[in-house]
Amino acid sequence: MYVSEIDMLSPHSLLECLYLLENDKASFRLLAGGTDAVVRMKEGKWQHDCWLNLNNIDELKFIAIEKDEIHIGPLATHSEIISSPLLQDHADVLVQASREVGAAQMQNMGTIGGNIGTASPAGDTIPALFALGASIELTSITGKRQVSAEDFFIGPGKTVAFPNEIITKISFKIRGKHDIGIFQKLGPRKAQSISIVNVAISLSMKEGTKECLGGRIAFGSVGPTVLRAKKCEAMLSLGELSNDMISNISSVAWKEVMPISDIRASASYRRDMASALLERGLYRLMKRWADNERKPL
Amino acid sequence: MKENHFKYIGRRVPRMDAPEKVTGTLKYMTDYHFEQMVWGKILRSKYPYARIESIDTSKAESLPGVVCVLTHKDIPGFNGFGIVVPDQPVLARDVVRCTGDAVALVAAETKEIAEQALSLIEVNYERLNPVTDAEFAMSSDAPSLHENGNIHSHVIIKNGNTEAAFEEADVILENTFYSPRQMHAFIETEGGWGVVEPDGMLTIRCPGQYAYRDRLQIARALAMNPARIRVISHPIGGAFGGKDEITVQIYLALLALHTGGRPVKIHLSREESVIAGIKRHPFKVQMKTAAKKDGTLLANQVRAVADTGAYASLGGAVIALAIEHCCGPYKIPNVDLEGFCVYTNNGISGAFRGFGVNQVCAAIETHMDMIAEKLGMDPIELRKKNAYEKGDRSSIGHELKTSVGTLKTLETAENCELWKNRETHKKNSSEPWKKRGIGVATSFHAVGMGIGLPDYGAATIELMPDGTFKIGVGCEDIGGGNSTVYAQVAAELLNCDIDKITVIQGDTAKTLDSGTVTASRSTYTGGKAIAAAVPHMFRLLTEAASALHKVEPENILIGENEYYAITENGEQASTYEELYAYLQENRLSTKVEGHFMLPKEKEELPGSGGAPHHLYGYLTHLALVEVDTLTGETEVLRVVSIPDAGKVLNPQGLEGQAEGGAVMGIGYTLYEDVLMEGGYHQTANFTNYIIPTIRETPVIETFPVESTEETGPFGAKGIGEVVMIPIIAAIMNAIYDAAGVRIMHLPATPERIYQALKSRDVRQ
Amino acid sequence: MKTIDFFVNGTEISVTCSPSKTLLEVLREDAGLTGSKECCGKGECGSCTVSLNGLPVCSCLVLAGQVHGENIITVEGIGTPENMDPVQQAFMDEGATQCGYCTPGLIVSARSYLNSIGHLPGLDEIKQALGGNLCRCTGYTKILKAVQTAAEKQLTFREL
Ligand SMILES: Cc1cc2nc3c(=O)[nH]c(=O)nc-3n(C[C@H](O)[C@H](O)[C@H](O)COP(=O)(O)OP(=O)(O)OC[C@H]3O[C@@H](n4cnc5c(N)ncnc54)[C@H](O)[C@@H]3O)c2cc1C
Ligand code: FES
Ligand code: FES
Repeated sequence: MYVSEIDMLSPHSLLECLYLLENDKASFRLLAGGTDAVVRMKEGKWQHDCWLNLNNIDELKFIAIEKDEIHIGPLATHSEIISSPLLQDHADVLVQASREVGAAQMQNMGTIGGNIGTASPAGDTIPALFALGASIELTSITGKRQVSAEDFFIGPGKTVAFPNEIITKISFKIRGKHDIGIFQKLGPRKAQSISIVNVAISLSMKEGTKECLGGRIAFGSVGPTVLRAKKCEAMLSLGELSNDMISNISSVAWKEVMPISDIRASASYRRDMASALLERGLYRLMKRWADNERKPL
Repeated sequence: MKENHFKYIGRRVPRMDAPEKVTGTLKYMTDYHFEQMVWGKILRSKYPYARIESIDTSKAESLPGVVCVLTHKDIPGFNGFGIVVPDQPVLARDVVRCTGDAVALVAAETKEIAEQALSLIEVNYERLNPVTDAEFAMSSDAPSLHENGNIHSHVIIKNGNTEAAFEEADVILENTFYSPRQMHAFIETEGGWGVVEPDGMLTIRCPGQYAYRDRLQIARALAMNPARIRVISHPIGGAFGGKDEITVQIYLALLALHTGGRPVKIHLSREESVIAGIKRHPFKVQMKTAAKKDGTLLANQVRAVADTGAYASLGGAVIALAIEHCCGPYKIPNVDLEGFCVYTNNGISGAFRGFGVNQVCAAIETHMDMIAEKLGMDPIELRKKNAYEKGDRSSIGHELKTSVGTLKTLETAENCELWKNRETHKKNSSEPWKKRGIGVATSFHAVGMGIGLPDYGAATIELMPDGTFKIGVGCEDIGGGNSTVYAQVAAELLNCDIDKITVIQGDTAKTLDSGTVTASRSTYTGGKAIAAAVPHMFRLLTEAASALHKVEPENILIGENEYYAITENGEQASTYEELYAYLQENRLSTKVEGHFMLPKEKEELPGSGGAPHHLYGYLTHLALVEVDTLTGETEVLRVVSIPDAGKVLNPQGLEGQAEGGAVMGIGYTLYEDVLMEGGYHQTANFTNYIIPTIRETPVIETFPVESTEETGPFGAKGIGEVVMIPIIAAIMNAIYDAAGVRIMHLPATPERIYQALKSRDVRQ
Repeated sequence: MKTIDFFVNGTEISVTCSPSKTLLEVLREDAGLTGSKECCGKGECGSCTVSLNGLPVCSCLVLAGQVHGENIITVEGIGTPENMDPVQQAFMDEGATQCGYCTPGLIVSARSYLNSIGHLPGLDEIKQALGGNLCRCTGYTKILKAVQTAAEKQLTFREL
């Protein structure tokens, strides 16, 4: 089969899209920004009959606040996430992660839904979603279900979504002004690079102190899926996050990850880098916290 | 700086081709589309080393839309190419030696059909164990990849007595350095067009670095009179040496013979370019260097092994140049230098900016840094102490007869802000775990071909009906901006405005053979050839003016944009248009030629493979880096580039070269390597071949020192290659200055630096 | 085959092709606009950058079927040799093009970026904006300078 024979349908509503997915006999692939999907097509990895182009479905494009929750539509692009004041205030860790995706061109086309759909262990927004405790809404013609980000991914490229389901929403609780986050990425260069290791950290701080009430830490590119570092998380609230404490917490990180070697890095380097990025991230986060605390309101 | 009394020379003349380039209107070869065209595709070998048992093309041929399928049987002439020895088959017959080997060709109505047809060609291989290590390839256990064994070339230079020198030395350093398989990564991949014209002429439009030689190689494979072939090789979307050898020209030609006059296009994907394109030779350099307490260098012993992959291309010349340059621009009385160029099944290596000098400079300049440290000497002082000057004898034992700028570049380095305030700069690191360091290195690079290779240039100047001059030089503009320099030289010498000059390049039908655009030679050679043609144009126009005004030629004056005749009625001006009209009416030629031979050394150093050269360009680099000791990441923050390029013809062009070279050198040192395993490329494309982006770009300052070279055009030399050489060692030395680790296996990736830091900490 | 109608450089065009053909191929082969180049085909180099509804994207990863009804600006729509855009003029004056193969993509990225801001950008901002455009010849230094120069001109022009 030739690539030029792959057809494309562009439904104008979610319902139409779900109907096609359910009932049409063609083998479909969903197309959002295409920055992953078109690469797969060119590599000859996908042999589908038809694209289901989501771009005309306006009901999948939103970034909104609803009661105490932030809702993001799957078609929100990385650029939209970066420039959203709402997310800048309530999801700094996600904004920073989107800022690390590829470069401007990829951020303009690439969507958060696509980043989740690709389910790469190196996907940059995924650790951020773990750190935010996000949940992912899947919709099919028969109904909706919510899956927490942590339960969503099964392995590289594999998720719990069924072929007739699409991602329709990403949501998480809004965060207070003492909830702070940071995303750290180690890649082969600054722009346009796939993560060798990345980490997303979100902390709830006690006002006026260096004490952490709890938090989440998630690593990417060091296992078959993004991984939460629960041992490290447990240590966050053991005491003041001093430099010594930070380096103690970080030194435990290597126990939480199970990286492999590939042409970008060896497993042992990745393991050490999990610690290094966590240390660097916590240090920078605490510095920012201290600087902000010092600033008069 | 002295006042510049030239109108164009030494001025920041913007590139002539810029308006077309910045608006996207310039048509590159790969941009053309013709009616009735067909697409060509190349089947590459499945294995790095195998015997071909059979090739069956019948299924591919019967696929609808396929125009032709060709194998080695369809080659009318000699089945081989290669600049020096044609050891690379055009289409493999009984053996494949690397995954880049071409086995069959297809032309089809669409690219997709051509690709599909490739997958239908059935090749039966008997797999053989690939030879993937150059040292192993040299051993008697390795199978011979070519008739004469795996050592393609072996060069030796010996001087003095190294054994005795090592005995009396105060400091001896001995280390082994490994260098990466760098990819040219030009932005335009290999590609072009072939067509048999209605009159039977074969036209090949394909970016290259030497149209005339490409034409000969095509003619040899096709058994066709080269005069019946026209090669157009310009413009080019980047080359850096990677389009010096044949890329797809012969494939285009073969296919064009079988498409019934329809034009055939090939444009390699990035993935195919990675597999089939030549690379920089990875080197293993073992070096032992000795010095006295006072810093005087005593001896240098070098053994360098270059992995040329399956075919020689210019590998022999690369190793020869490496050995010629491996002692740096220093006077070392005792040297024992040896280099091998070795066949393996690791792709193909060939010409690349720097041509072997990058790899050896990294070694000697690291040793210089280590010696300075051991002796507690300033690293610039140590280099100054050992640098040779014009008239001195070099380490390889020849007398330097042309200008040498090393000392001047080192003095400039010493006095620049970055070096003078280096202690302050080092203290300014941005976060506690980040360490800053500053490194220096100096090097040189030959201009032009060595002994044994003809080296000449030629140019034409043609007066056009509209009163402009068309300058024709064979040398292509591979991005370096030589077209603008040619226009500057021509306008300056012809005494006309530069907008009266057009330049054509790289077309066997329109330009004379001027040699290759390699060896940093095209400014020097092309410029001199134009200078040689100018007096002929003067004579032509003077004679025309004198006939027109009926005065003796002595009474003709050459003015700006005009010729004056001193007549009884006073001065009478003739414009170029009028002179053209006169020549035309009288059926006189309006075109002149200039020819130029590059000066050469008379005597070859025995065993050296072409050393010494007559002319060299020199350069010193300083680099400021910051190493993240948590992760091993290195950022280059500032670079100072101090070239001695002779007279600078166009400062903007020179800076462009210096900046481009510096960033390419950063890529070489920190990021770039085509990884191979078992003869297969692990690096596939730009997703995992990492070249610097604008975000890795440091502040780069260029401070040229001008040491006028009497033999060059207006005193210029070449600069295209040395701009990326010393920066490699400068960064390596800066990393050491920052973090205390020496990375001798490049690229210095974060992982390598981190592991070095870790093992150092364990040791301590 | 599908018929796809969209705007290129302000003019509506209609192309009949496979909806899975890339926008880059459509521009180069069907629309005869060869300013946008293919270098990697995988979104890594930015040589194929065009502006899609005002935003720079890699046309090698955009499919024809995705641009029906949309607005595309290519380098050819930014200026001509006779009437250059200030960004193009600055690239020429500062010597920011060498082999030129990367240049069209950079011009589109730089133009789109300058359109999106109302202040004089710092070096880091320009670097951020152009991180997706590889250039192997220039070492980027003159490109940075050119974008700064163009930004200065644009700002003074607006202030007037
Ligand atoms: C040069 C380059 C650099 C890159 N750099 C990075 C990087 O640094 N970090 C990073 O994380 N990624 C990177 N990527 C990958 C990619 O850009 C991102 O993953 C992007 O977010 C994908 O979004 P998209 O809209 O383009 O997805 P698409 O390619 O359209 O789709 C991706 C996958 O998700 C599925 N999908 C899309 N939308 C939905 C939905 N609503 N419901 C269910 N499934 C869906 C598709 O079927 C497909 O399988 C890079 C890609 C390229 C080409
Ligand atoms: S060709 Fe599109 S990004 Fe390289
Ligand atoms: S000018 Fe050649 S790649 Fe940029």
